[in-house]
Amino acid sequence: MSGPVLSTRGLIKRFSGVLASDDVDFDLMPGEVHAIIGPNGAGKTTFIKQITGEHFPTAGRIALGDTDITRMRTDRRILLGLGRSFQVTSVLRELTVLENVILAVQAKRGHSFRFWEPAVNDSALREPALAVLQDVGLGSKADLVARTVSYGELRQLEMAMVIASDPKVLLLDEPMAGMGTVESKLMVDLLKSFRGRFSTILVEHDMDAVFALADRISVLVYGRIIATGTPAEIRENKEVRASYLGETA
Amino acid sequence: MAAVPPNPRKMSRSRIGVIVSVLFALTLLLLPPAAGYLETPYYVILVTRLLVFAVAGTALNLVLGFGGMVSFGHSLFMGIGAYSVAIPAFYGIANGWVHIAFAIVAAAFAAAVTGAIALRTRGVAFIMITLAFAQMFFFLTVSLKQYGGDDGLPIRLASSFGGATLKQPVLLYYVVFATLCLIIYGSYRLYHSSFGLVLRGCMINEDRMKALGYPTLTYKLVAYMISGAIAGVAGFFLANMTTFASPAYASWTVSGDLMIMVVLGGTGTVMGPAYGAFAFLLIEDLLKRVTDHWLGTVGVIIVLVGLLAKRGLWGLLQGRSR
Repeated sequence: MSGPVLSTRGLIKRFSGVLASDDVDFDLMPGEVHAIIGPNGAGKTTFIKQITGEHFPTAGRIALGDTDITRMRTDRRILLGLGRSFQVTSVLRELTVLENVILAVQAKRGHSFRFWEPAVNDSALREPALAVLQDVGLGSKADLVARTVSYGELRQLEMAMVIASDPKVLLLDEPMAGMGTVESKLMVDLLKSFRGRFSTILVEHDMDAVFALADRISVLVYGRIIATGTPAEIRENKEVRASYLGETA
Repeated sequence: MAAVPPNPRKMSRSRIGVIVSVLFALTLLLLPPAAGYLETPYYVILVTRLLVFAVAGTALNLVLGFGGMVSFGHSLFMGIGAYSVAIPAFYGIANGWVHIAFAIVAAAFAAAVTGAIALRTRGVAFIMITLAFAQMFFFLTVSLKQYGGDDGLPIRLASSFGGATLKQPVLLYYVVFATLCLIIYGSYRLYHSSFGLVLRGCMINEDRMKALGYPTLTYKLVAYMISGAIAGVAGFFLANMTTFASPAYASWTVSGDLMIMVVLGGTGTVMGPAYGAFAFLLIEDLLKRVTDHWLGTVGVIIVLVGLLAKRGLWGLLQGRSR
């Protein structure tokens, strides 16, 4: 088995006295879904932002494959294969569904200094974009303006944009946020269909979804990982039950 | 491919826009012979001026309408274009290719330098910085006494291309008209191109574009340079039309007029800025004959268009589509 696709060692992030990440060692193995759970304020978002490059760690290092990305700019990390979804849907609402995905495909293609040919007719962009839309079940909505589709469909589109860039590491930051039961179920099914295709870090409050999807779970409390293991192990872990799961499960 | 049947009402309205534009273009094509026949050459010069500002408005729209960059300093590039004719002509260089090359290169360079600084900011800061750069150029031209200072610099040698010189009003008219058609078509292609899509993405949500991996500053800067270069060409034409270059061409009021033209015609639409330039300057010309208080009346008209037509005059023709 090859090494982790993403790893952090001794990651520390301090915000004026508050320790938001406390010596975090984390490994994402190829093809696994690794969920991060923990109470509010446990430092999940801070951890994610250090991986995306929105925050730089106070100490420690982050590696994507063999590349040290600790102090790399966000857009460079993304071109290296880090794909992320957002807590709040941030698709480009004035563009069509297809144009949104085309932008994601196009970003990977090097430069976009093509001033003449219509982008939506370029088969090198259009075909992969339509294939991804089929994957997430939005094939029939390609030509609609994004602002006219439903909230659940926006989340699907968001997902399409992330996987269209064919990421090595998929970072899902609360993909179920704001969804109803039916929409959540659809999203869980969608994410299940990706199983094995992407190495995924999943941050999610919906414990049913986490236990249905994750291969491994890490529990973050006060910036520190207190346990890592399979869903069954985490469910049995006394410390976790005491500090976190006891309240919700 | 069409997932939804197109709305028939929308179709017919967008066809109205095309028909109006074709009729409009035909009228413009026939105007010089008609004016010659009626012995009213003034109209050729008046409409040349409208066409020049339509070119400049279309240029501004590339950054303002497609990229969301509210430049309040596009007179800078028009001024550079005008002095690109006047200064070489002052030294006896009448070659039009030299003039236009100078206008394009100098305006694009100025856009690269000022854009690299201004584009690091957004919103009001961006507006103020672009305005500041235009004002710097304005005062530079005022202080250049050897080139006329604030009196301006008359151009004795208009740009000449082989045997033809742009001093001939009808020739200038058709050259500007052809340039406008070319630039509108180019702006249509750009809007739908990969580059245009990235640019529009930056306008809607720049952070999201960064998250997709786009170095957005680079794309915006290239758009700014293209826009500046085209505005430089408009300045080149303006200088040939008036056979004069003056600091007034780079005045902030010109930047403001250009912005009004774009908004009046329809920000972010391909055809809108040209209609806006025509409407604004024609209203100005007509009202000036009737009343000294023409500016106030223009204000009322702009408020009305702003309230009644969200996408400007072109939006009225188009319904809600582009």
